[in-house]
Order: sequence, then C-alpha cells, then structure tokens
Amino acid sequence: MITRRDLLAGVATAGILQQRASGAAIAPVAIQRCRTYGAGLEPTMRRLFDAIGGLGRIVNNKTVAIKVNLTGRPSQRLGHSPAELAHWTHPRVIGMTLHLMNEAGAKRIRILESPWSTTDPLEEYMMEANWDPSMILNAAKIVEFENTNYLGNAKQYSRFAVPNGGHLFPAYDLNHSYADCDVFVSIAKMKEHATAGVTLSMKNCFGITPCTIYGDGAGEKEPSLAPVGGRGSVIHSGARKPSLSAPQELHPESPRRDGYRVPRVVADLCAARPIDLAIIDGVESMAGGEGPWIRGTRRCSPGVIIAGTNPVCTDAVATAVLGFDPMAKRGMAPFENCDNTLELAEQLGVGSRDLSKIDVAGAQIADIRYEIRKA
Amino acid sequence: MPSSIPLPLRWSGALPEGDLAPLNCLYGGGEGMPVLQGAQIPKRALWPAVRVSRNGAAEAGPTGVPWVNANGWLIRLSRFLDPARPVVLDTVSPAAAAASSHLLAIADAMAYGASWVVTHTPESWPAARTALQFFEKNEVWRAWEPVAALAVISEFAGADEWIGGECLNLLARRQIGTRLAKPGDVSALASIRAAAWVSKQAVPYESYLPWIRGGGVLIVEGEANTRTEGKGRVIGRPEPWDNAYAAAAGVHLALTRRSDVLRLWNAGSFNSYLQEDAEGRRGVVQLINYAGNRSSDDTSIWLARPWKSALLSTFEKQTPLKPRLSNGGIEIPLPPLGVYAAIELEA
Repeated sequence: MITRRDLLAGVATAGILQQRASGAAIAPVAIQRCRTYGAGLEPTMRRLFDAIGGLGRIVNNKTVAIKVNLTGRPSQRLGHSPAELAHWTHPRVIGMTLHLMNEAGAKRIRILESPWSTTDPLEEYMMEANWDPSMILNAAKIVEFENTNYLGNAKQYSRFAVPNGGHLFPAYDLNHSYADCDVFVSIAKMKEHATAGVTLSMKNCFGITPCTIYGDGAGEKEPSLAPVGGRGSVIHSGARKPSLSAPQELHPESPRRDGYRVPRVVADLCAARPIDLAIIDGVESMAGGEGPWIRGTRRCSPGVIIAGTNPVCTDAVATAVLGFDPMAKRGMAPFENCDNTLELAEQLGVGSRDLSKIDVAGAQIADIRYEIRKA
Repeated sequence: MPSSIPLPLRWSGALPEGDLAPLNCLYGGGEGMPVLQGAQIPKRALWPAVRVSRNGAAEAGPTGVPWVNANGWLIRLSRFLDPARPVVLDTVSPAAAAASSHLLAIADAMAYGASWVVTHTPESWPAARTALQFFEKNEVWRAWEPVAALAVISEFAGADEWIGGECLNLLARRQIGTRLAKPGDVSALASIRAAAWVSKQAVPYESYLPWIRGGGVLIVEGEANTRTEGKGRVIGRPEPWDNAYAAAAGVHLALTRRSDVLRLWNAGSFNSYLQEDAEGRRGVVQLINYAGNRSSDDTSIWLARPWKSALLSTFEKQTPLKPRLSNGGIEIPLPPLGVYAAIELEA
C-alpha cells in the first residue's frame, strides 16, 4: 500500500530526476556505414573518430582502459558463426581502435573483460574462441590484458560511488583496472538484449562487476577468490546479496525482477565509472538477443559503426539506428519487459537521450536505419 | 576383425538367433562361441553418459561444461600399463537407458582401442552390429598414435593412481592431446615440447635437464619451482594438485592454448581423440557425444594442422567436408551429429 508520505516522496524524487535529466550532458555522435571488417575498416574508423573531434584530445599521453564485449563462453557459438561475427566485439575493431589510439599518443592501453566463470588470463579466453591475441597486443606500443572478474593483481577492489545516490546500489566494488586509468572506453556490440531491450555501450559495462562479489558463487562476507557462474542471483533476481564487504542495496524492498534491476545497475555503473568514449560495433551482429543461449536468435548485418564521447547520446543514436525510439517507456519496444536504461542513466545526469538535441555526424540515422526486429 | 581383438557378447545359455558377426567370443557362460580370455577388464569403467543429478539435470563443472562419465582415459591408461593384453569394458546399461546408449558404449570403447561386452537385445542389435562393423572396417586407427601437445608423467599406480587417472580424464575433457610416460623415461618425451609431472615422487630434475635445456617445458606443482633452464623452462603451478580439476586447469594454462591441437564449439558433451598414421599423411578425429542423442547445436571444429581434405564418417554414411583455412590451421563446420562421428583427414 502506498502511503501519502510515499507518494509525496515519490513526487519529490521524480522532480529531482527530471531536473537532472533536463540538464544531462550532450555530445555529438558519429555514424559510419561499414559493411565488412576488411581493408575499409581503417579509413572508416578514422572518419568516425575525426567526426567527434579526433582521438588525440581524448587519449594523448593517457592510460586508456577499454572494456570489450566477450559475453558468454568462448566454446559457444551462434550456429557455426565465430563469436566475433555474432555476439562479441570483433578483434579487428579492437585492434584498429588500438592502432589509432597509438597514433593519437595513448601512453598505455589495457583491454578489460570479465570472462565467464574463470580467472584465466584474457589471452587464453580469446584463444579458446580461436582468436590470435597477438593481433591486439601488437596493435599499439604498450598493450595489456586484464581479467576483471576477480581481484586480479591488486591488493583490494576499488570502490566507485554513484553520483546522486544511485538507483539500486550507492556504490560498486570493482577490479582496480577501472580506477587505474585516465580514460575509460566501452567497445560494445550492437545487439538486442533479452533482459534490457538493447545492449550497447552502457549495457556492455554490466560486465565490469566482478562475480567474486556480484556472482552466484560470491563469498557471503568477503569476495570469493575465483568467480563462479554469472550474476543471476545477485543482480538479475536479487535472490541473494553481494558479498557483505561491498555496499548493499539502497532499497531491499524494491522489485526482484530483472527487467527492473538490470537497467538500474547499468545506469548506476555508467554514472559511477563514466565512459569517456563509446564505440559500437554493428558491422556484423545478431538479432533476437545478446548471445546464442537466447532462443530464436539469428545472425544479422547492420553494417554500421558508431562512436561518441557520451554513452547515453551514443546509445540513443544506436537505439534509433536499430529501429527503436530511445525515448520509449517501459512496455514499448524494445523495452517491453524492462525499464529503459537510457532514461535511468539520463536521470542520473550521465547524458541525454533526446535525439533532437544530439548532433549526428557522418551518416544520418534515417539513411542507415537497420530495423533489427525485421532482420 | 582379428581374434586378438575380442568382441564379446554378454550371454548365457544358447546363442540368440541371427547373424552375430563380428562378435567373436562370449562373456557370461554361454555356449557356441569361444569364451573371452586374456583380456584386462578395468574395474573403474563407468557406463558412458553425461552425469545427471538427482533432479534430472546435467551436472556441470565450475565453467558450466557438463561432467561426463567417459572411459577413453582409462582405456588409454590400461593399454599403456599393459600393452600386450586387449582391454574390454564390462559395463551394463541402466534399465532406463535408450537403445542408442549401446552405440555410445561401443564408440566410447572402440574409439580408444578397446571393446565393450555387447548386451544383445533384438531392438539394439541391428544398429550395434552396424557400429561394430564400422570399427572393424577402420581397425587400422587402433594402431595410430594420438597427436599430443603434452606428455603426462606418472606411475598411474599406488600413490599416483588417483591423481594420474583424474588428470588424464580432465585433460581429455579439455580436448588436450596427451602422451603417457613413466617417471624417468625421458625417451618418451622425444618430439614433444611440454610434459606435466603428475606424480607424488620427487622430480628427478637431473634426468630431465637435457630435454628441458633443449627447449622442453616441464610443468610441476609448486610455484617456487619456476625457473628457466637453457632454452626451456620449469613452470611451477600454484594450484594444489590434490584437486585434479585445478591441476588440469593449471597444466592447461601453463601449456597455453597456443598449443591446442584442436578446438571444438557447441560441443560441451563431446570428447575428441585425434590420431595420425606413422607417416603423418592421414589422420582421424573421433568425436564421441556423451549426451548420446542428436546434437541440437551446430558443432564446429578447428585443427591446428592445415589438413588438405576432410571426410565425415558416421556409422551410416560418409559426407565430404569443406575445411577453410583459419588461424594457421583449418576450421570445419559440421552437420548435426549423433552419438559418434569420425573426421578422416588427408595431408
């Protein structure tokens, strides 16, 4: 039962959120048509970054951390398709980004991901998918890999508070690599998502949470030494708490539904660990969900690559390219069963999803639209 | 199939009607055929299957890959310890097992050079006979050597029995080709780059130093043992090796997946066995599906060696495959697979 006090508190909160949303940051977004990962990728990505002001102003003399999307197990494919042609960021997009960042003066680049249920080095995980990690390692002067699904080489986890309080948690404990960098980049795959509607540069950061704390096998009081399983029980369903060493939920009475919780955690994370550069690989992808474990998924070829310095603006443009309205409310496509992550991030002041306010450079949305539900 | 390779029938009393070839001996007190003699029958053999929990779900390891009851490691070990005597698996299907499970029992045994004591039922025998005839036709594979990236050094008996056997089992689940070696037998490491010391005995480093200094990698328990020796290395792993799962994972990390001889996708319930003939001109990968049914996903395989041609052989038919060059080797998309398939390769 909602009391008068709850109602008044809710109205007040909504007002604050709306105020923050209206003042959310705005940055231009670049779109480029890109049909293959072949020789045309380099000039395409150069044009892409030039259109948002160049990489030099972002990475020159900086330590760069890049979260890529290697979701699921490397031994699982969508049909016979190699992971990079369906649900993983393509290694040539990663390699080309590194090459161009190196040219732009990046001091050191670290590739980050939290691979499924293992403390294995990322190189081993990539090789299991039949990648040759040397093509990434050799793409820039100093390149490192770090598995961020556990403590790694640090002595302690780094705590990231969510500015303005957070939707679900007030702060998150993450691997040190997310703190030990000057610039944070998300290189995502452009896909639909069974729980969150779409997965783009922001949803990619769901995977920055270490499963030693936020995973099914997390330690009760302290983080476990190794990650076991996914984030189903802690984040998706809220059936259990993260390790007590980490900040606990703000509203333990809130809904235990993944369509409520996952978008809020993603928005929180993107406010707590801001994304300085969002890159979305939509050259080859999959429709119907985020990985081969979702029923009814299939290969598709949106033929597009998108980048921007604000993740909400960038994801709003990508959402529109996929044939959806970034302003859509819960219940409308693609958010039929979940809240809109873009809206939740906007409420935290991360960025604006209002296409009328976002400058789009390069190709235009209308010319390049790829209605993924029809793929 | 020569009589030195026993193909026994579990039977008592008068033989069942019909053509029983290629079965050539009896196990269980029947009449009308010679009695199985001279074989080694490992007691640890299990009915081959994906391991199922009480609630009927497949049991899985920490990475989500299903646990399987597979006997390939045990057969290879038995043949290694006593090469003169044929290996026969005396396992009996659970009452609820499907008729196709007999095919799995045959494949699980014969792919690795053993045989299974056939349980005859009118329903299962026609398909079982076809499977036995397939292996009879391809008997030459039994003599081919496994393609190995790693030698596993152990007594495989006494104090080493459990850890040695479990490591072989779990390394096979990781699709790692292995060669078996006894402690001190350095000659067994010829032409191999890495070896894992899976023994409770102290490592006789002096014996292995020439091999290590020539570029060999010896993987042992205990991080403090890590050091460089000439062109090679000793890699000490931090995991306690009384945990076989951790030991196998640690050995694989030390070996690194750069040494993989094959990789599989959408094949969590499969084990593979890659062999080559003595000249290296022909090879075969045998794929055994412990889920026992038709696979629901599209399996792909990558082989580190860029073989020129590949032919898929099942008990029923042969299908030419289309390998494509990939990552220094070849990758082959496979059609839906059943209990067993062999990929015949030519250089």
